[in-house]
Amino acid sequence: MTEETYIIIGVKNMMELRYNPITDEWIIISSETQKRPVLPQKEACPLCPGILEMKHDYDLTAFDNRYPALRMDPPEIYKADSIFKNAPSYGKCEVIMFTSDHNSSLSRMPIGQIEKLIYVWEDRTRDLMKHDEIKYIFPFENRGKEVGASQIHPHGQLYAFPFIPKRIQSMIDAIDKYTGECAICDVIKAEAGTESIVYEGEYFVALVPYFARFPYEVHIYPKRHISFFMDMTPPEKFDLAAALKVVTSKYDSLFHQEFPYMMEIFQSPVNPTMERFHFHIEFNPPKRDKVNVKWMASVETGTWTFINPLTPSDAAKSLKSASYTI
Amino acid sequence: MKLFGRPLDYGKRKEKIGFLEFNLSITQKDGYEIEVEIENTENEPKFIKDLKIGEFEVSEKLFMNNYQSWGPCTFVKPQEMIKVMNGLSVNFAASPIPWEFKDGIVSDYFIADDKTFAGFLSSETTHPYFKWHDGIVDVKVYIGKSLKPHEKIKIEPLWVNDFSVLEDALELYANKVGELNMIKRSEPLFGWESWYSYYLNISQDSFLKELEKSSEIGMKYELFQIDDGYEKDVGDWLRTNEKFPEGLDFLSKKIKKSNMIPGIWTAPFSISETSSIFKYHKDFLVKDENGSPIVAYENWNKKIYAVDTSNPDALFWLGEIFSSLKSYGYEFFKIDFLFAGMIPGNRFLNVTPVEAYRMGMKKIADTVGNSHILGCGAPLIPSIGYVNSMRIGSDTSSNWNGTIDIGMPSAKYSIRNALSRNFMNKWWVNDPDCVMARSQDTGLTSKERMVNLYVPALLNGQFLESDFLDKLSDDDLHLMVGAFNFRKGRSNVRFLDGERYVIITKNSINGDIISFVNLSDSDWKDKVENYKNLLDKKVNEFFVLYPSMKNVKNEVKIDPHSVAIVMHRGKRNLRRDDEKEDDGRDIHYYWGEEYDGTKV
Repeated sequence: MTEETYIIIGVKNMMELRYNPITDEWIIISSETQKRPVLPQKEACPLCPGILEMKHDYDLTAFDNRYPALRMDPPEIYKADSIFKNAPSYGKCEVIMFTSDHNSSLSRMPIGQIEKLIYVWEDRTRDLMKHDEIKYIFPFENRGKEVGASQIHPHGQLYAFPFIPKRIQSMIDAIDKYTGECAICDVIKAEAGTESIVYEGEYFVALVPYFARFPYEVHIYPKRHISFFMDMTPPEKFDLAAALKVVTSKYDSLFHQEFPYMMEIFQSPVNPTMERFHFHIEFNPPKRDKVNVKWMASVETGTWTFINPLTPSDAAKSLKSASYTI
Repeated sequence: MKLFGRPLDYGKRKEKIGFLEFNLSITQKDGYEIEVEIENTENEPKFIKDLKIGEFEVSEKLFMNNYQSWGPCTFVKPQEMIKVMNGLSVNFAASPIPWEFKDGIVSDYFIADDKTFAGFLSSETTHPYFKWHDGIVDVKVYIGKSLKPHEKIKIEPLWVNDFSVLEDALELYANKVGELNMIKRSEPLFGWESWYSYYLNISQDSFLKELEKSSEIGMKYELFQIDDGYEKDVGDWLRTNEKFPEGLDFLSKKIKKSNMIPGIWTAPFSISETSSIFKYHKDFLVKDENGSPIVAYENWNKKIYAVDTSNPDALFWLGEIFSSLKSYGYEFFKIDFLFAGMIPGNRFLNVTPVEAYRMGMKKIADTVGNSHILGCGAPLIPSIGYVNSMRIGSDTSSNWNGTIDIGMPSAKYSIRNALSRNFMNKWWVNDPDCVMARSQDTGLTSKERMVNLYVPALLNGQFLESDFLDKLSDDDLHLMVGAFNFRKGRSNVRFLDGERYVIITKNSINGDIISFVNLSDSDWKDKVENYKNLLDKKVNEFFVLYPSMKNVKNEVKIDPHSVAIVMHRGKRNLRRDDEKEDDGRDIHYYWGEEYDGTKV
């Protein structure tokens, strides 16, 4: 990312990155994303085969978002003649289809399908990290209208950023600051056999962290210190698929609903990579119970300080006892 | 094997026994294929009962089969079995030729010892069977009609072959039977039916309650079927009892409104002694030599008589029943106690019991057209071509009931038959009977429940559930959903003995699977490597035990009354096709190796 400053012309389809010198973070301005459709009926689902996005049947796909916040050929921007910094919104926003079945979900999919999805995430990471300007690749899923999902057809997204996002930078800073070998490795050891464990497979463990920010927050950690999907062996990928299915299935059964969540996949930065970064997945469900939402209100948004209304050990207890399907 | 006292040899020859002349043709088709034509050489009609055409010596242990859905198909030591049978009265539910059990044991349609397999390839005219007695097996057919002077009749072709693996012989036999008979192809259905929750206590209100609940639990049933308990009487199928005040068309419309296939149970060849049809149409019944109706069986605390399906009026009546049910909207017909249609006796026409049975089945099949027929309590081979799916074991039960294997309700033997008769899925969709997800009101342990749910899923036959839906816990539903992901595969079953089986499943929703089913009361240890060559090799392959998801090194321990499911995995090789959208955007299609368009 260059630190040159630019000025914008016009207001149509505004796409650019803007730097906030007060908080030292980059913001993506993208009027394209405003055009996204919201929650259609099945008949009109643009993600079903042959409707809009995919011309024919598919198993899984990854495609460029029709309404991207970042793109590999960003519109030209003009240097600002002021204190402000801006930059082209270079990067990639992809949509990743988990299955062609409109009514499925991670919680209902066979493990084999989730396993394939992991291979797709791996392939997308390998593909996108070839671009030197890409610094961070972030696959995620927003499930449910509570977290702004615009389509119910099971899908996730992937952002390939030209910079290290603020929270990732915090993780990197924490790694540098941590006096031990690896904080996640140590958390796994410390939590072994405790009530925090929601599910434990051969190679992955799912737990409600001691420091959970959201009610019912769950982290999935590989027991081996690895940084990317590419580092996983086939048995590890299979085991991760099982863990994803168990956790999402438990969410659904806990409150007898398709439980909304944000699933965030954290791999090492790229260009350059960072071996000390421990791959992990966070589930951040916005709900505090069956009905009520835990809002990202002033304290959370303004100070980045989270107030968790549910003791993590209680959440772990509920999730541990919740039914699940493999 | 000897035919008429002479060793098997290829070619044609004639034999004459009494007034019957036998024309034999023996050809080589993966062994011996034997065709026999019989002629009545007398100048007067002759009623022909059972005929022996050959015999062979067998080893101590045999693989035997009963003629109808509920009967056992398993390994038997006849010397021991004959002691068990001694004192038991054999009825028509157990055999259309019960007199043969006085001094022997019968295996219908096929039999095998440790090296030789013999099986009849059809049952269109006669009932073919093998009778063991004193270490010898007689090869026999029951005809059961008069042959006119010089009339000729062809009996069913017989195939005899030596084998090294019994399961391979059964597969070959299934293929040969399939080639000779017109098979109805269908997809297995997932549905709910009322029997194992309500039994005869089903009512309109309770049925509607279950229908409503089915949409709440999100199980996406394709079929919703009412079982026994709605009818006024056995035989009076279109008249409902007082528990169903709004009739059958009302129910089917409700089911259809819930976007499921309406299904209904009947026992079309059965007429009870208290029914209206019995009162007014004794001419519809199969009779004895004295002209009295023959009791086919007793059930519902009543005598049940058999419909004479050679009688055109009775056939018309049958057609009216099924055309009415179809006009109400029913598209799935479970037809039960079908063996009644094939009991020996006097009929309107001079036809064999098998011919009469097939006339009745043809009438029903023609009447319902492309709707689904599930046969039950049915003579197996004569039903090929008329049913879409077929019950291939005893009624299941909410109890293991693992002691007596005589076709009575049993969770164990219902599953055992699903395994031993799995090869029949080439003739129809096998129905192993209902699965039950319930953890309450059941005598099954959690491991036995896994057997009840997962083995039918692995064998990918009909998957019909029968529970009180509002009593199912989340765990119960999750167990069933878990089982569901093992469907859609192609399975072969290996027999270790009559109690231990290995299922090799390819391309289930959860991929390739090796499952070890231990129906015995003892622990069993086996090794994955003994069976892995039956699956296609994959790079970096590994095996995972379900549901623990722990890697399997090699050895598997299978507890009594349990199934151990081992998922086969390897490195995934996704195919990627890159395309460009019209607006220049990239789109990458990823395909799993096994992807066949099935939505998962």
